Amino acid sequence: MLRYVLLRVASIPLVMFLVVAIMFSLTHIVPGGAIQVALGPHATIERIEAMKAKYGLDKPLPVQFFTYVRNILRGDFGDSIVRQKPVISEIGTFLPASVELVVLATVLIVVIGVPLGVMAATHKNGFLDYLCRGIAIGGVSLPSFWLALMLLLAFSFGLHLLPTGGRIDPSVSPPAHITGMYLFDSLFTGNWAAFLDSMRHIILPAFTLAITNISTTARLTRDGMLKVLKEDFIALAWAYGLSPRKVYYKYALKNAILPSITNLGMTLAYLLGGDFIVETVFSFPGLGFYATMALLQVDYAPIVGAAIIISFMYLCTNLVVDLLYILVDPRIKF
Amino acid sequence: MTPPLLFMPQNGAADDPVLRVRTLCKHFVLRSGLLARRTLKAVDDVSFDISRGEVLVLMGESGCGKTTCGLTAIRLFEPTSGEVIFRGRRLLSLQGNELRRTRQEMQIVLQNPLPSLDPRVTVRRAIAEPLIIHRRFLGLSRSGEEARLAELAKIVGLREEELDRYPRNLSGGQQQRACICRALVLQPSFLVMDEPTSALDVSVQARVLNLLLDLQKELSLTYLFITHGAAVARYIGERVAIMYLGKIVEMGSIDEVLDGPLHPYTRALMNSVLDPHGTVKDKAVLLEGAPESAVDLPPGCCFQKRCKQVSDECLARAPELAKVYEGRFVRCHKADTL
Amino acid sequence: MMQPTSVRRRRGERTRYAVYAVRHSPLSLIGFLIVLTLAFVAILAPWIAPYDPYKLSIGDRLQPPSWQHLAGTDIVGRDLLSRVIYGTRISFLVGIAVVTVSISVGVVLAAMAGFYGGALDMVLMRITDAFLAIPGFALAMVAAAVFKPSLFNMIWAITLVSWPWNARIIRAEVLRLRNADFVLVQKALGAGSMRMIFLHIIPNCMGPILVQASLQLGLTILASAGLSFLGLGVQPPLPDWGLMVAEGRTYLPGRWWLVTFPGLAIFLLVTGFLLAGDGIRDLLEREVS
Repeated sequence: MLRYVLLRVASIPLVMFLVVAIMFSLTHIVPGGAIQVALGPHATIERIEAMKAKYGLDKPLPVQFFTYVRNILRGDFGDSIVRQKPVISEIGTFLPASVELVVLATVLIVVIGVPLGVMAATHKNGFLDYLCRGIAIGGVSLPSFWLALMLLLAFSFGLHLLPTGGRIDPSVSPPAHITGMYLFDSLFTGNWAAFLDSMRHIILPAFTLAITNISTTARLTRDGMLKVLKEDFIALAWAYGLSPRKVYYKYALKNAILPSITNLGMTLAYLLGGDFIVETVFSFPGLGFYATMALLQVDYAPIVGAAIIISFMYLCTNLVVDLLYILVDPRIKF
Repeated sequence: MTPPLLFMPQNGAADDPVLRVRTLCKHFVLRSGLLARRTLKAVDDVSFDISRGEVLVLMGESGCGKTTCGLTAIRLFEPTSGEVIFRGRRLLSLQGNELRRTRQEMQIVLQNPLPSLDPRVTVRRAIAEPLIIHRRFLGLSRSGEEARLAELAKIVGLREEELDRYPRNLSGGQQQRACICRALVLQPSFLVMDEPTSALDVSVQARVLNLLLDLQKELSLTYLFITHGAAVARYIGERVAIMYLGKIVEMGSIDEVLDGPLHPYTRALMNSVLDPHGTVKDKAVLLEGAPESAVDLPPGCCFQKRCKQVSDECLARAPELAKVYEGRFVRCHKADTL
Repeated sequence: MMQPTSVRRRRGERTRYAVYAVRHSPLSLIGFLIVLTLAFVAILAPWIAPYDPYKLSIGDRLQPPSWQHLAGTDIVGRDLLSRVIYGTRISFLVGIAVVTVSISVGVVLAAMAGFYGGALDMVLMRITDAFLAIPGFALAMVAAAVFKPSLFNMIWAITLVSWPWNARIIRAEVLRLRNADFVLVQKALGAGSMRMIFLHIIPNCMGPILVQASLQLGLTILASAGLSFLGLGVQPPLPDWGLMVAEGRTYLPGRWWLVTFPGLAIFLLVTGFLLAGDGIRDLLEREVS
């Protein structure tokens, strides 16, 4: 067991090194387009060369790579060429919003997806079952940007219930900065107005992000439940005369939920990835929004920095989930 | 059944042992825990000879290593140590095309026929596959290949229409016949049979066994026949080697060993075979304890944990496979006293 | 279970099985139908589309759906329905190109790594882990942006992100089959590694490969729509669905048709592929049990 943990932990630096290598290779295959954009179309050759030298882009590739890795280990992800500010500090500003969004999305996934799956399983082949399966299939195929726009159409433009973008209304002052996550901070400081307003802004992006995985989770839960419900120990529970509620939730669900937990890893990957488009459409000022906007201006450092940091977070979270999984499932022994 | 003209016996001195196995070992290393490494000695210090045209039966319980031994002897697993001399050639030193050519002469039939056949090809294609692999060595024309295939299918008892079926559409017996046919198509002189009838219906077992016996006689084949059943061993075998936890504990001609066993394990094995009256002959000799695993064996005799005659000497020093008389070997300190 | 079959009857058996399978899984049947229908739409586009998708007609611009223009017109007066129909071609093209390349690469790499094991396998696994750790869409964005964004480059970008998934799944299958009896027998027969991998192991992985292919077709189309939406993929004036949504976005909420119809098309085709993939997967599971 210890051996397994150590192996997993040791593999993270190796994989991160490969991640950095991949991102570096991608962005350095084609020579510095960002500089062109930063300096504008009328830049002279001397100015371009000068800027290249300033960013070390005139040195041979292996040297650049080495410098790059060394800088990252120091926490320096370079500067945004277009905005001339260090990427790491900008990431720091935008990260809490994304974390908040992903966490809320995950909550939605579990809170909506699991009961949906259970309902589908317990009402097998009934109307609810087909409804849930329909949602499950539909949810995955919806393009996130399109769903985002449709939701905006309905709730913002149509019903005027929710705002069209951003994170908080200009008229409402953001809560005191504790974690940078508005929902949490406002709750913590009792700032009810800020909480409500942040929630209004975040609910649509979170839901858009969640919908695909709600479907998958519902489906996995349903499949898991159906499989477990066929088992002998469930039949025994029925024979004892236990109430349906007890049978389903106390006995069946605990066993059925395992595939959903395994899926959590993949879910996380998706959320962290899909985040980029959703934030862009809702103009939600998180990491994805920042990185995408920079990329569209041919500024690679922000998105590369964001990708590296997200990869690291993903690997760590995966490790934690796997370890929890081992703790939770008593069948797994080492 | 007349031997087919297409099937010519291979060249070689008639008295040469076809297979000489010397101190063959196959150890598996299991990793568990942080630093612990445990060794599974599936095959340990195994030596035997098989002469041309002979049937050597390898017998023992499940897990004694007989399958691993058979597979390692023809280098389907790489041995951990030891030497195998096949028809005068050092098998373990061969490489590339040399090895490939040599493989033509030694084939294998496994216990479960269905997994032995690629589910996506017809039986005909499966049987023809060796001919395709060795096409450049064999120098047969297409019609020659077809003729050989047809001839062998007839000998083995496969009908023409069965050849065009997929393995899953054949009965177990037919599937095994297909495997046997495939094993014969390169005209090997040596065959390893790993419990070829154990997975078949009882009524079919006898027929397939008879087929194997006929083939052996008519085509002068040499068999290494692996089984756990004494009846089958007696029926097809001439000599037998009894294995326990990776070691050969007794070896000799089949009647002598099975009727007059010298090793405590063999004696227990023979006593536990029910005779037609359903009685166990000698209760005192029955085995106690559970079947063991060959992981991290203690020093001393491999049978020490279940032997009724175990002594301090048995625990301290592992016995060698000693010659009792010509052709008869036993691995036990107490063999002469029992 | 011996069946008196000749070759002809064997083929009949397969059709009967296919019909049985489909009848028991209506959803996958719907999926196949959707895909087939849209495939026909793509092939027959020039004959089905009422207008030329590139023809500008400024006088008719931004018309809501009507009998003349069933889906309305866009900012420069192009008929939206025709553009959506032609967009089917682009989607199929991207999907098939990406899936073909990424599965081929994934299968070959995974088969060799899984079969040979050792260092090769370890290296491949670490590289796959690295690719899978990077948020997929972000990686695709970077890859698409680094070279000048175009349809062609977008295909490569999505392929780059897709192959690790395939590699991982196929590797699991290969590991399972590597120790199978019939592969061992091949070794005894003298078959070389290449033969064992390509003639015996990979053909027996076809099931999972097909499932993965159909799922990936759906996901690729979603990804390409997303990239084109951001401007990192297909460039105007090509009638890509994602691009159309982006073009129509600025006219929300008033001109809803500009965004709704292309989006529905994406939804429909992706659903088709995903349902079909599910159906194949169910079929395989039933075959096994």
